[in-house]
Amino acid sequence: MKSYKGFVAFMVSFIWCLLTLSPLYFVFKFSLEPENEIFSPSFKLFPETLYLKNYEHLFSYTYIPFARIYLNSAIVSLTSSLIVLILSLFAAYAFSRFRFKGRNAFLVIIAFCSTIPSVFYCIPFFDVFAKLHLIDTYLALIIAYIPLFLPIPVWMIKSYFDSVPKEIEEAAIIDGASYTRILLRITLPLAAPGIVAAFVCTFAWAWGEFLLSYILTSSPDMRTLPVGLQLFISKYRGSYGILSAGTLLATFPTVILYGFLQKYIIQGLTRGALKG
Amino acid sequence: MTNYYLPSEKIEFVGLKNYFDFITNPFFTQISYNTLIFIAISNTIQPLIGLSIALCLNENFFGRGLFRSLVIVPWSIPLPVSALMFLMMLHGVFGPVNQILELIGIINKPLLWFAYDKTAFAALILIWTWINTPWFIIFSLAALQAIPSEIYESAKIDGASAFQCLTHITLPLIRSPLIIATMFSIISTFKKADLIYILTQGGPDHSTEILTLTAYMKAFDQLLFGEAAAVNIFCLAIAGLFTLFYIKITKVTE
Repeated sequence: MKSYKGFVAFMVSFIWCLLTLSPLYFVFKFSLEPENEIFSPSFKLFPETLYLKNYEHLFSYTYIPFARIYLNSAIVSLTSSLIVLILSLFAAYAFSRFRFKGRNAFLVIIAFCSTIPSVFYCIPFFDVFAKLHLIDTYLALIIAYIPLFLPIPVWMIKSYFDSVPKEIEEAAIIDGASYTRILLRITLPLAAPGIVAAFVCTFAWAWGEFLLSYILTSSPDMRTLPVGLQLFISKYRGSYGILSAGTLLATFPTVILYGFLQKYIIQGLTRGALKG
Repeated sequence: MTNYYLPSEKIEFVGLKNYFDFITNPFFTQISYNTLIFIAISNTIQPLIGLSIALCLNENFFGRGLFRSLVIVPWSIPLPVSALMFLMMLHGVFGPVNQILELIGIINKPLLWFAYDKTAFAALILIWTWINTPWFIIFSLAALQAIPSEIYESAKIDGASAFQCLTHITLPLIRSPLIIATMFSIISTFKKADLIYILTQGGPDHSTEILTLTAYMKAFDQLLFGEAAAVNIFCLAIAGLFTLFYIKITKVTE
């Protein structure tokens, strides 16, 4: 009975993983094929020859400088997620530890902000940045990403701070530690998993943000990775083999981060909801 | 509330005209309907699949840890990149999905998924399910693991069958976390203008257009900023509604 149940569970999980991972495999296969082989109408599971030119062409493609847009994405995502992390640390600490006037109102506002579609930010940001001549700069993207991604990290970190016992901090206060010192030396290390999770999630969202970076950049040199890849196929009608190589490389940072830090991320995302 | 149109310099106050224009637009009902159906269907299918897979992954079997890491992969891929990947997977000429369906004889010639309204909508839901189901899997799995095993042991002593354990212990206990997960997912489904923009741009003939995408396309494809802002206010009102539910469910202000 027991082994039968285990077998069914194994088969279902196996089939599900096979189905969900097959797109990745096929994109990998396309990236190793020349264009005429990709377009052959008959179904082939493996590429006939190992064709590595796609990766070479990807980096020498003139309309969309791939290395440059990869770097753009890295700069913008890292900076904005670091700023979001710092802001949300302080906000979360305040919400978790202090009872101040308007605390509930602020929490409701943050909840509301997390439901606002990113499209909503497009028009005002575009309008203001166009007037300030900030279109096509890293600064514009970083400023735009901060309000977009701030609400959820605040919650994630808050729920971790909530779980740090108040008594530890009270003991530290009696010993004469300042609030900053308590935050840096006691609360932060104890809430580290949540902070890591919040940072990785913000980074991943910024890495995959499309609409805002689509409108806030205009020159090929300043595009971010998702926008660059989309334009590569929709505007410049580039080859599918090169696109496959590009998409595959674009997935690496987030897939690897999520893979290694999976435990923390799942904990960080589900914690608040499971507690209640 | 202005007639802000990018190519012209003149901006005039037009009162509520933008709102009326939008509501009397012949596509308004279709777009609202699309939004509703897209949210409803995907948030019914995904929790069901997610919960079933999570129940399986909660069993003890060989390679469980590996599968648990693998299910999260589609979710960790940047959304626009997933969209581009599926543009290739469902491609009319070389898409492996078409080729496999042809191979097993379901269709006899390659299907142009994004050329017909029904198949484009189905493809959209398929892709969104691929991306978002991991969210339900990990959430349900975390909820399942939070159930203390003593409950099952005592139920077994009382002679409960596996099925009774499922319906009387597991499901009631993970109901509220699952509702929260669904709420999160509904909100993020509503926001998925970027996914649809890359896949279909709302076409063919507005059949895959949802409200947030309209707000975007009005502004940046048709340059009707005034009307787009009106649509955005609409979306904001809906977001406000979501927030109310959300606050009620999660008790953020505890």
